[in-house]
Amino acid sequence: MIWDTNEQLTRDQYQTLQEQGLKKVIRYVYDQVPFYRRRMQEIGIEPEDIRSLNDLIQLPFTTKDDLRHNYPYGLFAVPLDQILRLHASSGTTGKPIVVGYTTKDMANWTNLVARMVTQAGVLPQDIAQICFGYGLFTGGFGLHYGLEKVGATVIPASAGNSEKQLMLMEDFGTTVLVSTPSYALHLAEVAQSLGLDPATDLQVRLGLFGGEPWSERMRQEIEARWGLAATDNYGLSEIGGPGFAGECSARQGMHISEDFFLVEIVDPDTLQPVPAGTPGELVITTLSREAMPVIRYRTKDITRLHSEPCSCGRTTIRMEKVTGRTDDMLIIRGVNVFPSQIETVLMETPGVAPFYQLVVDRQEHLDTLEVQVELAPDYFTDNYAALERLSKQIANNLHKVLSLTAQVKLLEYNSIQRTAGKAQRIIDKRRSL
Amino acid sequence: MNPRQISVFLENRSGRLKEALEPLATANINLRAISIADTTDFGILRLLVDDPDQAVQILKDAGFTCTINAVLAVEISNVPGSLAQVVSILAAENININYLYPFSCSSLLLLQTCNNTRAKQALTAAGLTVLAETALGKL
Repeated sequence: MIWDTNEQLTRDQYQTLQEQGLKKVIRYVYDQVPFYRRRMQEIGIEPEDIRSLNDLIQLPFTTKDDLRHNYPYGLFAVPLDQILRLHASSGTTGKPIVVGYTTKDMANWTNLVARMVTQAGVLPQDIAQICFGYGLFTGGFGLHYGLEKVGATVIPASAGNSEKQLMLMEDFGTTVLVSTPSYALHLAEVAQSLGLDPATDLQVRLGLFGGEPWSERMRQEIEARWGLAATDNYGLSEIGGPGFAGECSARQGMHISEDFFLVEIVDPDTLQPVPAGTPGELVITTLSREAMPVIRYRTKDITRLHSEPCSCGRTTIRMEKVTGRTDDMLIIRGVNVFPSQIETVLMETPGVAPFYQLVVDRQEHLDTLEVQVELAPDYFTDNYAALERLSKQIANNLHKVLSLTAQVKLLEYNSIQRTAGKAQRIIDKRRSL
Repeated sequence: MNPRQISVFLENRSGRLKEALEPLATANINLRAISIADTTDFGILRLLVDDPDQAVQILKDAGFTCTINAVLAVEISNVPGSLAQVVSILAAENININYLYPFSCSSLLLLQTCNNTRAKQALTAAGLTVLAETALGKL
């Protein structure tokens, strides 16, 4: 099912829409937001200079730091009395990033999430349990309104209290799970410890997972444990939260709502556009946001775009699963390492559980990488040599993929802290040196 | 039935052995034999107790990864050369010993080999006594 006719325009129609949208939003921010006006004036660009999509690259980028420096309301384009809702990013360092929504922004957001959940396969008869935190985080409320819009029954369970989540799932007959992928795995474990097999004892048939990067292998693991179809979606608070992109049943990438967002892929080092189909950093310009438009926002997420038509009937451009973040990227002994590469190796290795941590350190001026991973309980036998073989095998496979020697440490099952939110997987001790 | 031994996967961090042994102590489980092999990162704790099923349940409830497997219990004399004798019998049969450790009374040796059935036959044929699980309780 397709929610919106705007998901099936021709490429030319999208281009026309985006061109009009771009000119309009540039004029709008120039007039309404001193930050953008100053930035444009600094490099001698006036709104009239933006005549087509090709002129986009003349405009300066916006970064997370820009949003932070303008905390809380500096980038708002409307007076506060027109703001209906405020959300904020988790802000692990210092002040969070604040986003505002006007009445129209709220309606658009709801509609975008409705598109996204319909794409994923949610039907009006579904019972959807939202295990995202309800609060400043955009995930909980974003999914909530969109799911209600398509007529699904919404259980606003919020994050945490896994045993209660499972009780609700069992008693309420939940059919759709909304959470981070790592929390879905954690819930499956808790279920198993309670003697519940999520695949047979629960009715969850569909999962909408977002909020953190995850690998294809992790998808298979979640699907096997839950007996559900796991779909990926992508959004970030800075551009309004979930509803930016989501997978359809074809699973050939996440459809981006191009009538609302203009996307580019740039080389994270040179910041120049990359050839079509090449991976790079995703950059987003919002075309319709009233409260807080964002121009050329650098997401730091690495992905690749595909514009050929999708078998689901939608014509919007698709982004691949995010393979990493430029700021998650570890440089170890000069080698670029994305945690997702390590995750894939671990997921392909029988005998280890899908919970891991990466510890990067520096010893005698040399970077070290320790991959700590939990041993799967079923895999443990009395055989010592088998355990040593297992760690060696992981180290060998990591070396093949990363060209880097990593120390592999097998941990007891359940020794890595489980979280309802984004999993903290990297401990970089070099930062404190 | 050969005696059943419990193997516990232990991360090498301080206090972890205590955390494994305390619930067993609380449940009044007597350890008849114990062995720990270790590397820098992890170790395997091996235990012989009177009721392995109960002990495994307690350890699992406490969050430990553990498993039950069989070992051979061989009676040896407390004189020089008796261990060498056991080892040479198995060597002659090309049976590898994975590990061995003594029972709480020193004239009993616990060992695990690559083939316990053949090892038992070889040892019995050489005149040694190989004890069943039930026989350990009387020691």
